Amino acid sequence: MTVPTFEEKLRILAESARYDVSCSSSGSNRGERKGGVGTVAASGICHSWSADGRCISLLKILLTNHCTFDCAYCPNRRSNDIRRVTLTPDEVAELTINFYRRNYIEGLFLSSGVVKSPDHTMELLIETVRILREEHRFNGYIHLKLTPGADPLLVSRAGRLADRVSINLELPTRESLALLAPDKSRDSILLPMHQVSGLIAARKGEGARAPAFAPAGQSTQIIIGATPENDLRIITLSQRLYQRLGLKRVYYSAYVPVTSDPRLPPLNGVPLLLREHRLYQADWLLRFYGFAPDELLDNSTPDLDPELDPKSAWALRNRDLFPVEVNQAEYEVLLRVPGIGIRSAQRIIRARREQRLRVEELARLGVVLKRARHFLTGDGICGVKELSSDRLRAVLITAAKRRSSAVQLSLFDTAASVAVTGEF
Amino acid sequence: MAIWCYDGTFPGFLTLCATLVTQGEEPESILSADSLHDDLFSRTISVESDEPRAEKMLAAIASRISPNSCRLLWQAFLSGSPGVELLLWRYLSLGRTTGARIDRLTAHPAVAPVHRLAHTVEREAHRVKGIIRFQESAGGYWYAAVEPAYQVLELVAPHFARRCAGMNWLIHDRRRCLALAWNRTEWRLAGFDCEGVPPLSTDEEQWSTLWRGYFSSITIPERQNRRLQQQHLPKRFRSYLTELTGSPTL
Ligand code: SF4
Repeated sequence: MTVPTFEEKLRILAESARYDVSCSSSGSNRGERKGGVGTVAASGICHSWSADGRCISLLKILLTNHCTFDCAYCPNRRSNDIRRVTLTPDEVAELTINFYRRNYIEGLFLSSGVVKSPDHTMELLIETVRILREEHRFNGYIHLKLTPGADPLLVSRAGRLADRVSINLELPTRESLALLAPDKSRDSILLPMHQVSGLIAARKGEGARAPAFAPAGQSTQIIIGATPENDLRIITLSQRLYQRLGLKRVYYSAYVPVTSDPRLPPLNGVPLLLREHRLYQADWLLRFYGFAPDELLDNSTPDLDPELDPKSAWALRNRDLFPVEVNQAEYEVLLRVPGIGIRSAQRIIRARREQRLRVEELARLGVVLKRARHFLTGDGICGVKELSSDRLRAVLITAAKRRSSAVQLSLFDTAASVAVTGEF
Repeated sequence: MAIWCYDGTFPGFLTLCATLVTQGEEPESILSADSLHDDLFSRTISVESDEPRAEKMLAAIASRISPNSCRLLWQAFLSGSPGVELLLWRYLSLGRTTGARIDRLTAHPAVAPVHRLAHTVEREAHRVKGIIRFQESAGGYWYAAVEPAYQVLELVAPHFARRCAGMNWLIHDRRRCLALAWNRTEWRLAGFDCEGVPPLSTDEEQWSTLWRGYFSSITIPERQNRRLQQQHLPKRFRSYLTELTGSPTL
């Protein structure tokens, strides 16, 4: 076989990395170093959008796609017959700096297949980031993946150099993990995760001058649809990760059948991209809208409604709580109105201090009323006639469809698309 | 009917407002000189831009109305949207009676549209932060061309001054024939030739090729969604994006 060129290696390692979802570059604050290259922007910046409609913010790449593990869902697994290539830490650092200078990217998202041992792999990853930070004086955003089972000392080094660290939970349960990723034990994932969450919490207690530790927090990723867990199980797990471990984000990755393996399910039922989209919406409700998992789903309906966003579905089941009067309702109550997002709720609260709001003023404030008007009154007046639940359901479904069918099937991870997802 | 006319700059507009205030006039129309057409039936009153007067006006707005108003007016002004001058004048007139309370009158018909315009401009500026592509010129400075929907160069200047502090760079708004330049110490906005692109350094080709290769490889083929991609990448940006131009590797 011919020796691959640098360009070929880059392409292969980008292909190997592309199934990882996270591309966020926001929310870090490491403080600036004089004379360095770059900064971290407070709100995420998208530099481009790939042909699958996903935001490109970071150079997302593996150091190598060699791997001694054999995870059934992964194209890089040991038993898969693909071309294997490796970049050196220096090469990745050089690439990052040059892409960054040209404003192609906001930073680096670095991961790797497991070579030799988890510790050896982690050392190579850390070395790359060290070169960037110390030799190139790179100040931009770095998201570093932790290797399952990596030594605690290495984990803490990683957190001191990177803005964000993450380790993928991969599958929602211990059993599923054992089935599909036999080389990864649940503990080899959970231990570093707990360690990082402890170190982040400890750092918060220290003064502003203490060295930063993963200032953009910790995230993880769960693969959806490769194993039989239902949505209730998944969002309950996410809620625990947010509340107990203080994770910043849980990413959901619709399983893409990159390999055929008898352990993997055939694809049927709700299209996975749609299911993934609904999970992101539900996740959003947990983090920013004060919903609890058992408000959205229960054992009799353990999966999210494919036709309707989870907030609308919840409102339809709880019609006795509506309509709410925009001049009186608390912020938390406004947030529960379908169609009213964080920004709209804030605008309403601010504007109503000065004047009573009718539906007309809401429109002027930029509140999208298509769905909301069925659930609120402005100064006692509703403006639409009351519908039966079936009719209302139909109306809500059409309203959502018209909003944007393209967005329906996509991932969200950026400030720019927060504006889209934020307002449901 | 009188048309009030100014030079199209923000200081010019502020000077005009100051004049209106002192003369107690209520304009029916405010136009920049270049959007003025010969109109036999209207009287045109031109106001010369006067920097010190404009600055005084801005200080007065900050102290008597609200510090937020200055930024808001400026951003909305940069939209260049037809009729924006009269809209801003009405906002100012209201502000003179409400004072800082205007910040909370967000649902008022004279205030809401100003917020909306400012917000639109801010969104464009945020986009531009991402879609600018610097190329290294043979002369050693970094060059980027854009055609933003609004005149947002000054809004993105602080961002690039921090991000690319150690580079000499120039961002060229080719729609407006303007350029924002940074010499590692300070930035400056000036008129600039609409056409010219500098000769590039020999390294440039290599990095842009790598980037194009990366860009096409990062797409998950099973999830192709061109419509969504195009929705995020408006036409005005596409011809300047390294990854969408040059050797087609898509
Ligand atoms: S450890 Fe598993 S998921 Fe990671 S690269 Fe190797 S095979 Fe893929």
